[in-house]
Amino acid sequence: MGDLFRPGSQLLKVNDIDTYYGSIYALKGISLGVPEKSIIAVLGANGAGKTTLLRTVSGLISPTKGSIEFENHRIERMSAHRIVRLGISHAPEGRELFSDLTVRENLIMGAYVRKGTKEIAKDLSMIYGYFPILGERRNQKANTLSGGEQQMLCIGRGLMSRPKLLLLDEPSLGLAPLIVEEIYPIIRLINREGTAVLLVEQNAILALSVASYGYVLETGRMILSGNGEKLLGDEHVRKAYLGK
Amino acid sequence: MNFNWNKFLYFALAIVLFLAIPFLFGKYFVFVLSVICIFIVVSIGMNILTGYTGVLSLGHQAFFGIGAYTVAIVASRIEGFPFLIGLLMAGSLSGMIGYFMGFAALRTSGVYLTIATLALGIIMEEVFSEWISLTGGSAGMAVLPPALGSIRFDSSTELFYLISFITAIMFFFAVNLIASNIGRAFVAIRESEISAQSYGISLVKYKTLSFAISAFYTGVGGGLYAYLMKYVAPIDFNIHAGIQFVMAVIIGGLGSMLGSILGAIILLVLPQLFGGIVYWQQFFIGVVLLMIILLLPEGLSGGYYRLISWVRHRLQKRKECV
Amino acid sequence: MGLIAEIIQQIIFGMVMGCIYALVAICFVLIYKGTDIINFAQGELVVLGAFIGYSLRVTFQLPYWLVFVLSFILSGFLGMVMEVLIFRRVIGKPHLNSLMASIALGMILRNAIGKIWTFDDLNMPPSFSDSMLKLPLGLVISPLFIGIIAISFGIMMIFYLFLNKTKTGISIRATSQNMTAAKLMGVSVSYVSSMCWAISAAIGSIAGILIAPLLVLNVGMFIIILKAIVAAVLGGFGSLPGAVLGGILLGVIENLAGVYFPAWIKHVFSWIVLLVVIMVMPQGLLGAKKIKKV
Repeated sequence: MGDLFRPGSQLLKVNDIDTYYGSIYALKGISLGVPEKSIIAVLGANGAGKTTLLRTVSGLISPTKGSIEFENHRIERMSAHRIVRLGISHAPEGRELFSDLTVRENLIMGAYVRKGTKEIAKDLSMIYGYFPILGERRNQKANTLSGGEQQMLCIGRGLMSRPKLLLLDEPSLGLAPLIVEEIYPIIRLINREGTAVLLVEQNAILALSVASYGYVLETGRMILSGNGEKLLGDEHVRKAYLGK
Repeated sequence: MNFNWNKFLYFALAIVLFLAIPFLFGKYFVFVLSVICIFIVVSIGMNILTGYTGVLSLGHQAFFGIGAYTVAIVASRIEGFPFLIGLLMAGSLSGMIGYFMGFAALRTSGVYLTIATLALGIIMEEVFSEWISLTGGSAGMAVLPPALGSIRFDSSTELFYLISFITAIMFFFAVNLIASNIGRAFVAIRESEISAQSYGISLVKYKTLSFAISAFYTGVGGGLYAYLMKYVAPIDFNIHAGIQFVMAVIIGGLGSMLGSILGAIILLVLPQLFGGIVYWQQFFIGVVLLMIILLLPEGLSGGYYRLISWVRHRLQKRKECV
Repeated sequence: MGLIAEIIQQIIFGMVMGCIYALVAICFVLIYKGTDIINFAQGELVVLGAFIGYSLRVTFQLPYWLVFVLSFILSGFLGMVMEVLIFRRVIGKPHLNSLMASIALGMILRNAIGKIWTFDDLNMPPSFSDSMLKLPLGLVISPLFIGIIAISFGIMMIFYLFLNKTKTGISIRATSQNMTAAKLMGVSVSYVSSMCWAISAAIGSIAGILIAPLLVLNVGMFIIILKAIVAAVLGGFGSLPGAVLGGILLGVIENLAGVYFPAWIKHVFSWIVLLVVIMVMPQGLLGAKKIKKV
């Protein structure tokens, strides 16, 4: 794991964090880095701690040990709402939409930390551009959307704060392959337009098709890291995650 | 063999000492002990519902009042009414209404249910005040002494023996109830209604049972109260009384029979500390409760209960030594 | 007076009381929506506001409009203090703690109010003239009634605008729908919590000042105010429009009950309604799905 911190500016640096999820020791000494404008994947089976990792970065949980740096701010003790203002946006597992609000209202909530109605309106159009179906359903309540549409809304909402880093938790979970094929190119597009992405996925091949680098978690520990080729070529990874 | 003899002697000695209390101490002390016993019975009732089954009741004074008025009504109309029947009537009427409330428990749970108990308490207080022909209204009514055949339990000493005896019996039954399958069912429901159902525990049966038994106990407590005070009035059964009952089980420790005793004692001792000035007492309890909730890491469920358990453990240890 | 006139008269009285129930129910539901806490001390908060208003009016002889403004601000501030000192700290803990905390707060407030002011009854001067004006059909109404209804509706309207058009209002709504998502949008949950308590205490104080002249200003008044909980349940717990509907409906049917039943039934009628609603239609009129666990 020597190539953890590569030269070039690290947008996010996670240093040796321990996190408890209730009484479960969920993350054990995790370190990783997300360079600016990159897509980094976090892989692993259910219960490996991937979601806990994202929740720790976004501030929903506090680590008991270690530090997290974002653009030279120490954020491990910051509450979630302040971390959003720094430029990290979390599209969580389970989507956590405002089910009683419309698509449009959900997206506008995404821009809560911003001012400037004109800019926000522009971004709204941009999101409708990424996901036309959201534009069509803009006045529908979020709980009337299909799974795939909800996932799109979740990602779109996360983008409305113009984050520098987007934390994406299992965007393909529970979705039909056709829908996933619609979403992933958008992830690549978002990244090309300047947003770094920390992507959590169980589906290693899918994740590594967009990510330049990946970390593999197993029961809270980092067991492997490397670029796509290296990970896909690894014996353990192949057996554990691709053989599935 | 020797050991059993020793134990028996100690036990007999304890009983003799207990019976001697009225002669060793004055009337007032004996009276206070009687009140404590009544509070213990009420606390046990509250604990069954709130501590073991997990339903916070803010209206338990309703059952206390129903029991008290039942005894008052029969014991004032019929001279020499057998006290045992009087108490059973008090408990049963109370228990039936509790059973009925238990059905409300099936449609709702949690805070809704607590609010429903609040409603019951407020309604009953008004009924006590307004059903003048039955209850004597706000002025209240006098109660004749408990009777057994031709015996009248008139003096504070006789009442003390009667009340403490009944309290002991009810305590004994309560401990056995909690240890039984029924008690375990209650706890299972408190922890998770959904899990309890998956174990085959009928919510219908056990929730209504818990309410009924809890109300029965509190009703009997009310009946004893009527006999002891020789007078009942609606003001004894208002929302403030109900809050006192809640405080007793919370302070003594939810879900513990010994805690019921502890809570009853603390609640009775407290007014003495404040020279009977009610509002300081209430203020103080409120502040202490808040401090416990705020300062201990898990509030009422955490360190406080560890503290209480420790105290109980010490008390139990001492019991075992005897 | 004919029966129809009597009924209309009672409806008028009912509207007045109902507006007060509606206001307090809004306060109660607001705290529930924003912080998931059942505030059993809501009645005491309203009474506190009324006593503050009494002092401002009677002791300091301030004009009534100033009494309302100052009381609103002062009570709002006190509400915020209570949130910061007490309720913010119970958020992570098991629910029994928040319930008991509000009950304990109620005990403290009741006795503090009694000690600071008095446990006796006080006469609250009315904010508008309470002399009865004669209407056709033998009906009567006083400027006080009109004032109460007008101010109540005014507050409700401003509150509606606040919830839907201001950033704070929107953050309260978002938090009540999904706290995790709200946090991730940048909403400060502590800020929402403080605002809910502040607004609740502030509006509550206005309600208290308005109604105190019609009831007796006394610490025990909190039990009457507690009926707003019935209004909240009737309207559908967690629904603000429901709270308004429930409040006004409750006030009206309570008074109508007084026409047909003996006077004392009117007093407990609301609580009987509560039991019936809980057993028959627990979700209330405008339906609420969430039922919290103790």
